[in-house]
Amino acid sequence: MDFLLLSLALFVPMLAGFGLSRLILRHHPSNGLTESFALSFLLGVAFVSCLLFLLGLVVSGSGLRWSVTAICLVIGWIGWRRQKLQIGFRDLWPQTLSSQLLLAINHVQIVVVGWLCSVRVLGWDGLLNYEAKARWAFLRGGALPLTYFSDPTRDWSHQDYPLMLPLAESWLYLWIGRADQQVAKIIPWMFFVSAVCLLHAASRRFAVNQWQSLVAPLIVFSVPLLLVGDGSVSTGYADFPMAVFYLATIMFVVEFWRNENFDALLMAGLLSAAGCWLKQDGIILWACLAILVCLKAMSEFKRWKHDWRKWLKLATALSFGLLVFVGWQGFVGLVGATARSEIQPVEIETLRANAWLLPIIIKGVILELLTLRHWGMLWPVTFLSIGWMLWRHRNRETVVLALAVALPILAFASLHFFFHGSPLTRLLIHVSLVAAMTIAITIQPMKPINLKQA
Amino acid sequence: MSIRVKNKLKFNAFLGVSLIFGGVLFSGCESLFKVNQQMTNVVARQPLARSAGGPYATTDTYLRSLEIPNPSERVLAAVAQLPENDAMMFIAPGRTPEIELTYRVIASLSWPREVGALHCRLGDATTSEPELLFQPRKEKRIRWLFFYRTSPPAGSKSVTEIGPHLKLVPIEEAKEWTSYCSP
Repeated sequence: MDFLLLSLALFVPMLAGFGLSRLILRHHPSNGLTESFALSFLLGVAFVSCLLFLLGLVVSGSGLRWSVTAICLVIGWIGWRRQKLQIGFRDLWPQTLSSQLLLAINHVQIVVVGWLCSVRVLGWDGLLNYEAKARWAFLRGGALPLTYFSDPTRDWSHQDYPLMLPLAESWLYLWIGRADQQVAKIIPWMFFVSAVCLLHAASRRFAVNQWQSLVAPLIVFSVPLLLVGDGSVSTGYADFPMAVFYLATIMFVVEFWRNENFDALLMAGLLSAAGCWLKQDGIILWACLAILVCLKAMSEFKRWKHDWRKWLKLATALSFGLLVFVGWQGFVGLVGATARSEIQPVEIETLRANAWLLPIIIKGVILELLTLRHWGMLWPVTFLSIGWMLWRHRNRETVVLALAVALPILAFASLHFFFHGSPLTRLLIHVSLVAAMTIAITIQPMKPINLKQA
Repeated sequence: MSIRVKNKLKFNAFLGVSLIFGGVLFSGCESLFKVNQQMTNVVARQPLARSAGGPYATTDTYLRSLEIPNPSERVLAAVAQLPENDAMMFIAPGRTPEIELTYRVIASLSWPREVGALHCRLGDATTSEPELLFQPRKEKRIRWLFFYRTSPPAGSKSVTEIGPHLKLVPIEEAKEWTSYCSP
């Protein structure tokens, strides 16, 4: 019975996510199974947790569960009516023996990570910042009461953290009718499956060879910190899910750069906003997205300057993240949640006062990137492949990918000027999946741009 | 050979192969179980990282310091009888990571009751001043005290022993906090 209920609990948000993805990618929807699966899960989880939060302010219990379910079904139905999924079964099965072998390995990898999640307990943050809130929300009918946010005895649970992960876990609890820490681990595992699917999908979009799309997920498996340790998929922290959202965002930004596909830009904006709803650090990744989009706008300024629709779409895409961040901060202030005060004011004065830290930070970052027991060979290979690609095939997409990797690392390193306890190791997880994608698609020159789409 | 006979042969072959594989899988279950146990020891070497499964897999692991079976359920059973509006205090001898973890897990299981934390710093060389880390809201009355690895005041009545290291004691009126930090 639990299996059936859990399947339903996952199916409902994924249906909504599928509907949303079909509504956003109106002109060029993807018919790839992996991309559809990943987008359905990512958008679905974000959507359902948003609904639980907003509707939870007025209803609770089964009323909340059924109203969220009804909205999800309607969105899914509208999306399906608009653009049906037409999967080519030939695309599902790789043509060459090596690709078939890689596909099998990818499946084994997913099973192994599932097993890993089941035999390891949730980490400290995974339990006390996320699962505990999910349990409390479940015990209060699916939403956290407003009194929680100003409870001084729960200051340790980071009341100012956004609620995507806790409410996603609480959604599962609502369906199975009990809080279950073992069941909560399905959510991080689903993020891992989505990451594998996205890496496959990204390589299919941009890479020339089919085997490249199956190599990318293997790279993830070679990074110990993504599987075990603080921030990894098995601990139930928000860092790995954040990496998946950033990967999806960058995939659509590259698509926007290549084909000027404004639907892709809208999708990138929405995924980046979901990142802000997952963790406050999401605003840093949103800023990276904003820089990449602004660079594109600047390079096309002459062509676009009289087309106000393009500027409007651009502003709309970027506004989602800002809206979520400002909205959440406003809510936190309104309900009197205790904000963390470990960060020094982000001002030029602080930067000047802490300038002496620069060589220490640079050394720290380099040492961390070369820590094999955390990252394996991920970062050296990433930088080598970017360098190789920039040298051999100086195309704009490689520059975008290079910036998508370098900008967050620079931003996370710069945090040390303002916040001495900044967990760089965990923050680097956010960029690691984009790094894996970069390696996989820069092994060979990218696919030529689809002129029909452009 | 007719199509029907051919299909029957195919079905039999399929059944035979399935039975062989099924048998191998079934007999391999025990071996798989052993492999699983060995591999779990590899990927979750520290006992605090290993999950025993179940709805309280993580909290049970983190409450190992209570040295009782099913610690989460025991704590839940003890607090379930208390009114939701009653606040509580968790009194512990010091502030070590293990005590912090135990406090937070117990506070999380005690939802929606507010649980404050008092660290007595007994035997701490740097300072002997008790530290009131978290305090319930003023409008909440503190009616219950958790004593973790410390003894309740002499003469305390209706002591609920959750385990050898954790006791739950009702109080009528809260006294000066330092008075609960008797060595």
